[in-house]
Amino acid sequence: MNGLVAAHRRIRRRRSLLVAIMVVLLCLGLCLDLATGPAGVPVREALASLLRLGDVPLSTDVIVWRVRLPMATMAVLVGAALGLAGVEMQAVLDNSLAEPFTLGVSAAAALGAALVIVLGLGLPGLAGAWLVPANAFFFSLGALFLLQMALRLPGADTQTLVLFGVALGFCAGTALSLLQFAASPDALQQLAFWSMGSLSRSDWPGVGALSALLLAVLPFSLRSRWAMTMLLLGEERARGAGIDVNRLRRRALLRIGLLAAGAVSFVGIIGFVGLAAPHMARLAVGEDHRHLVPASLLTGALLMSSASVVSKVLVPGILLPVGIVTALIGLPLFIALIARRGRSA
Amino acid sequence: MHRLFLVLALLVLPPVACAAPISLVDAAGRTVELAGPARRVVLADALDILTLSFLLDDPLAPVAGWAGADRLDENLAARLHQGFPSAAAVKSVGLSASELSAEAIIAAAPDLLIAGGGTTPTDPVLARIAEAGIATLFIYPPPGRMGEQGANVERAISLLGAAFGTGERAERFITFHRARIDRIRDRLRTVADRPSVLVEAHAGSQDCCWSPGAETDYVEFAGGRNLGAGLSGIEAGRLSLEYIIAADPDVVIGTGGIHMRPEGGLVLGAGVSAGEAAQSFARIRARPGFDTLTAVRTGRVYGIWHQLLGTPFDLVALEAMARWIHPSLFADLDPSATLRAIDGFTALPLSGKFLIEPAS
Repeated sequence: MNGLVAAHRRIRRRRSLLVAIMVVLLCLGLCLDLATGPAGVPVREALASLLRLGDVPLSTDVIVWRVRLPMATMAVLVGAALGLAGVEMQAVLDNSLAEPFTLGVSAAAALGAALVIVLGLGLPGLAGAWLVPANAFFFSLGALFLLQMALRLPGADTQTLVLFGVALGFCAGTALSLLQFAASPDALQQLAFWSMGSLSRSDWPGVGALSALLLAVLPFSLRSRWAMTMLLLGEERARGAGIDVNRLRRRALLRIGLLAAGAVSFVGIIGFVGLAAPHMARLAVGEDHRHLVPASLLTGALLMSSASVVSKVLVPGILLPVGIVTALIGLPLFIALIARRGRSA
Repeated sequence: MHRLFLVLALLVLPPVACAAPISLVDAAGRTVELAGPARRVVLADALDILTLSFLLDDPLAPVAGWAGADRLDENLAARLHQGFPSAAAVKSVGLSASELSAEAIIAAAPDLLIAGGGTTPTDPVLARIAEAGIATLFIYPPPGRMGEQGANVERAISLLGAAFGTGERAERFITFHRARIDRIRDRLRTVADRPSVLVEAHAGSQDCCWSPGAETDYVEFAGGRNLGAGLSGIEAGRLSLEYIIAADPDVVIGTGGIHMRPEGGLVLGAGVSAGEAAQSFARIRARPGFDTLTAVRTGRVYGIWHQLLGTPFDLVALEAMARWIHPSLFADLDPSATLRAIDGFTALPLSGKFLIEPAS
């Protein structure tokens, strides 16, 4: 018995250590992200500007503070949001193929963005750079609202939800195609780049908005970790433990929707991170949400941060859309991990 | 309104190039302040090098970077590299005019970013580079503010003349350009007949037929009625072949370039041989459905190099279109002579096949 407890403690300690290692790796990734860019600013000069030490040219200050730092921070935030939303979505739908955008949130956001880019139709009272993200966010909230309504239908279960979400995604996708058909070549190109996901639009107000969203949602995610773990063991057992499963699902879905909407609104559609981060984290720390939730969040952030570095250095002088890069660097890693798991099983 | 901008821009034109501050109202209606004539610039749209070539003997000399380099087709790029070896040193600052990299622009350390139709004035990149002291000058109207083509070119030349302190040179070209534009406009004033014109952008592409778009202005200016304009209220769309056959336009004008080679479409442009152009032109005329159009059977089908549009060279396209749409009214116009005259103003005279007619 004592041996079992000790073994359990050892496992927990090992998992906590792994999470700590991820934090360190993320910090390194962030530093690397800040040190790379087409301007070739010497690392020492970038550091001096970052720490406000000594005399640094204005151009370096602008590059570090206005270009690189918001982009690098945005990458971490978006990755964290998608990693967190992904792990919760997989638990809520009890499906390892689920990801934050499974239920049509990104398609709705793309439709909102396209309305602004193609027709100039946006929320009233907003101007300029905020119009596209605000409209994308508003439309994904609309999709979220409809999903919540669907969950309240009599007899609604996970399958209803998935079917409804997929239908919602198709509807938004069709409307988007119609807009694309009517778009001018310039608008079409802008829309295409938006859909590929890009960090180049990141600025401080955007970073502020997304971090506020993440900070608002995170405590609720952390608090429901135990209940979500119970849900993974089966709906019956969760009910037996006194958990209101429907309410748990509704609330988790609300959190997922908010995170996915926030991420997609500011940087466009980033595929793969929300699907792969939970799986990678699971391979490291196991199914238990107590470690899996922070690990998935950190893995997502780490994936996005590395993708941001690669997107800058792959073709010198050209910033590749980060949504392409996430799949490019994530896929081989993902497949290797899955293959290794297959062998050890 | 555009005339007003032009006058405003001309009013603030310095009589001689000097280091006095320059204040301009650009094509997006923004006020742009410069400490002195621009010495180092970045182009948001690489194709605007053609406009710059009307103001400077070495248009590449001040260009530190550009975006959307693939907008210059390979022949045009080769022509540029051959005439100006410094073209090889121009850095890329983005994939297109709507996807600029703030860091790459700041690293190029220009005085000025020159932007046009592909960039939106609210792009956050512009605000960021402004913090590093780099102003942005829209020489062509941003999306959604398309003006009249002739006035757009004149304003672009005037703004660049003011920004580079080569106002006199700008003025000479504007005078030449205005006279030719006015000749077309004045003659059309009393003409009520507006023949219907099908403009097929990227003629011969697999999905037939890209129609309205920016070409509408050209057709209307040249005295025609664009078949696709106002059809659905959309800016650029595809007309069905059936609709085109039923409408049977009086004139058919296709645009093309070497980008149409892989698809077997209309091939025209800098460095394109007359033989290849003629062959591709015959091919697009013989497409099933097109061969039955009255315009095609009676020889009122023509072709224009796509990249000519939206540059000062498009005067040639305007004259050609006026001639094609109203042959008797504009029988005396000679677009080829106009092209040769334009060559006297630009540092980048172009040779190749830019226009094509059935008999030529």
